[in-house]
Amino acid sequence: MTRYFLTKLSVEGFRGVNNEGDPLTLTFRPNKVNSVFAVNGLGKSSIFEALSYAIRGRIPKLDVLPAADEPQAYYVNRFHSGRKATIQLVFAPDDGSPAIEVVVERSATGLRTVTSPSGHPDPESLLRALDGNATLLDHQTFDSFVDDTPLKRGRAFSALVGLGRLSEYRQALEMLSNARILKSDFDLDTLDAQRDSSTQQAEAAQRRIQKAYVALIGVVPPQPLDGPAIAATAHAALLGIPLATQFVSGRAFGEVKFTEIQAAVKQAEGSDRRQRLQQVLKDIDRLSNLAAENPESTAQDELRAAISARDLSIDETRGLAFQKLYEAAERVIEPLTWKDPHMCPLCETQELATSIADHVASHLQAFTAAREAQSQIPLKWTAGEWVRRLKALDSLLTPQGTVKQSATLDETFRLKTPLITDLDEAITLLADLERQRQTKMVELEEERAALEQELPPSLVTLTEQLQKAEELQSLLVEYDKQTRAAATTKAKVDLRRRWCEFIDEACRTFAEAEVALSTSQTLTIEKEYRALYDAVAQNPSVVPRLKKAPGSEELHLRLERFYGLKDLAAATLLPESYRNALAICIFLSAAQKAVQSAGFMVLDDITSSFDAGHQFALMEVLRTQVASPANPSGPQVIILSHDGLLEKYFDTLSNGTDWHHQRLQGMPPQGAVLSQTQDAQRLRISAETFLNAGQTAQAFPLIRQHLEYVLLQIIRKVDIPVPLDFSIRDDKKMAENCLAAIREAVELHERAGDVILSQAQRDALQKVHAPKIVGNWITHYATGNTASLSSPVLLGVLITIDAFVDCFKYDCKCAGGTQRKLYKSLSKKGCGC
Amino acid sequence: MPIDDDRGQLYAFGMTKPSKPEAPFRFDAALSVDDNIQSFLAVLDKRDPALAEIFRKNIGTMLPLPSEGAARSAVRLKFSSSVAKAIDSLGTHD
Repeated sequence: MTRYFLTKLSVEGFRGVNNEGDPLTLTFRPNKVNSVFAVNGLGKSSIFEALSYAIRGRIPKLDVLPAADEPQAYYVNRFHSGRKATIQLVFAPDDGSPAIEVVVERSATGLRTVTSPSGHPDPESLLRALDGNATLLDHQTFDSFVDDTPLKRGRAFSALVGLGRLSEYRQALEMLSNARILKSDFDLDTLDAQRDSSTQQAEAAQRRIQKAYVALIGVVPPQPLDGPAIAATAHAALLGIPLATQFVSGRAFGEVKFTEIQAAVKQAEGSDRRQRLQQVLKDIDRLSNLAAENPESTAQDELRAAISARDLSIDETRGLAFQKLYEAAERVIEPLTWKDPHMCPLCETQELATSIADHVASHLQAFTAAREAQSQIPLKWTAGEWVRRLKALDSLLTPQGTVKQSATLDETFRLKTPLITDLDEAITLLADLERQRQTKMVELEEERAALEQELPPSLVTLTEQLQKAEELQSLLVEYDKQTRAAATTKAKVDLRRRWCEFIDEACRTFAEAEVALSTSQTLTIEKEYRALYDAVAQNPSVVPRLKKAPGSEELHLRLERFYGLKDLAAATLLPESYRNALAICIFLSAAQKAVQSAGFMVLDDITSSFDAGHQFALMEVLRTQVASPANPSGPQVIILSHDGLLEKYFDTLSNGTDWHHQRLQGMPPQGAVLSQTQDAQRLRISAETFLNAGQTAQAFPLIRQHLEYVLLQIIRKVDIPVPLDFSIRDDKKMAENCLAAIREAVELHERAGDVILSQAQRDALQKVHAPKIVGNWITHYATGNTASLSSPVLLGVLITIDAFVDCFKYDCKCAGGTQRKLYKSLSKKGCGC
Repeated sequence: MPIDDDRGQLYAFGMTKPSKPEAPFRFDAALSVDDNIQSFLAVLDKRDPALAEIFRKNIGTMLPLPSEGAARSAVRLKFSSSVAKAIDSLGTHD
């Protein structure tokens, strides 16, 4: 895989960097450790954010702001007249191919455009590829790693070692294989109930077919029930009835139209009595078939128990308001964000006896149980044979045009929240209808007997045969329909259950494999992070250990040894700086193992909790063990820091071969920010232009930047020592501090008798230029009293600054001509002149 | 098709019976994440080719997994709905 190093970053109009028409430019060396120092408010964070926006497309700290704060409006510098941010990055591939230039722009409306002046075909994809988990790291990353829940830490670690997608895949599988979700998403309960209902109705049809068959044919049909054979036998019986023969012949049993046969019989008989007998027999059959075949109390008791269980479950829930409370609490204490599992989010009571997450989950489970209990009621109602009997009797016995009580009950049980009283009402209604059925049966039997007395026996027999044959015909259709429905539903349920088993097995397989790999990755870096931690913390009595929870994504930060004690929680014992050091060491170790496109690693302000000793220890670890060039396969490390003490370290190392240091200066967010490698003459030229136009207010910040720049350049190049607290004094006194340091250093060398400056230079410096700068500029600027300074006076200040710098220069003739060079130090030149 | 497993009827619908004993599946640290996921899918193919195909076609709708709970439920429901249709259709082809 090709790795890309960052060699240049230019920023204009982004966050705190205005630099309109003159971008802040930083250069980075792939084969060196790179550092950028800036005191507070000089744009260091803007640099990190520019990289974050370019590579990740966002700035995380703005993402979390409320929408009312309009965070999207704060990407572009508020003082940039073009209201456009431009970030230019140059990457050097490690395969020797040409450098790639990428320009990311953002308009005031938030439109992001990514182009590549060097011709890369897909610069946005390149930037996405560079967004590794160890590319942009700040102290918050490390703080979070230590303070987060074990689950979130485990996921962060997976992402760090390149297993982020596996972790995400696993989460998706776990969600899909949840038993409750599967049951609900795939309607398993409903399908089971449908299948049971179809099966029951098929069995009921089968019993009635047997009865009708016996009545028509006179014998019991062969078992198991054979629909076509029964139809054939019934067909043959009909063929044997002279009046029916012509309507049956040439037709299948199912195609016979009994209305045609009835009409022919009526015509032959010459009266309506046989037709009435036919209707009476049909009604008797229908009512007879609606008699309870099995005891119904069991199904009714089950429904009663379901309602009672639902009521009990609802009682456990404490109502809708609590449901909303617990659901809100669940979101608040989500395992990835809620750090203290024993703190109540509402009253903030700590040290609860049980985990708040378990507490909330158990209450929410009660709501789930209530919903599941409720869902059983319509299923039991719909599947109940006695319910079908209730609805059929109501339909048959309640006069047309009257509201059917069973319909109202049906709606209540299927769609609403039925009570025990609704069930009692249904049972009472059924009992009432049953009494009506029996009364009606008696009436019909009496009418039947009277009609049979009046009609010839042959006609009675014919009527009964035709009625049974017609019933048999419709029952065979019903039996076939319900049998098919039951089989279809069963096949559907079986397939869906097969999926449930499949996805559950897939989830288990994946989780086991992911845990095994993640655990092995944890062990792989164990030696490295322990060695790094030992080098940074320099305390062999404390040995950290990353511990993967068995079968889980959770990752625990433990101390294998702690002053003789064993296996203790790191977060509770280590001070903040050591916790951060441990997190940094884990990240650095993992980053070295991770395969990622970004060959660079940007570390923003990672030592903010460290004392000076540990800062230097960490920097030495970075320089000598982690980063390129000491570690040939290590990343190009870019350190951003505002720590004044560290800058001394950076300064010292930047004189060597393995370190490249830059310093930011300027007046953000309105004025320009410059790195020391940028040409300071631009500041002077701009200031002079403003002054010649009489625009002193615009020139002030530029003169200040120019002065500070040249003074710091003298300090750096001429190797002038500065006090330890030099960089952390009041920033308005930076120039004064610089002058004081220079003056004291010159006086020291004068007393030592080794000062290299000529007498004329020393006189000009001490008696003319320094007092002029102080009198005409510093005393006014430091007190904010600049109104009295006119353009000519300030132009004079610029000339004095030039003359001041010249006091530290000499004529070098080594290269043939004459070149003005800064002394190497206050006691020697930098050449043989 | 033999129906001699304790899962019985399931194999009547085309599920390929797994070979036993089955070695636990492991990801390989030397492979890329994509290659590891392909290995996992190959394991599923062996266990039940028809369902593995449905899984392969639909898992993309779940990823990247949203962080917010409601959005997660939405992608899950979409996934389940597509899978339900696909496996019901599988039944009509079996």
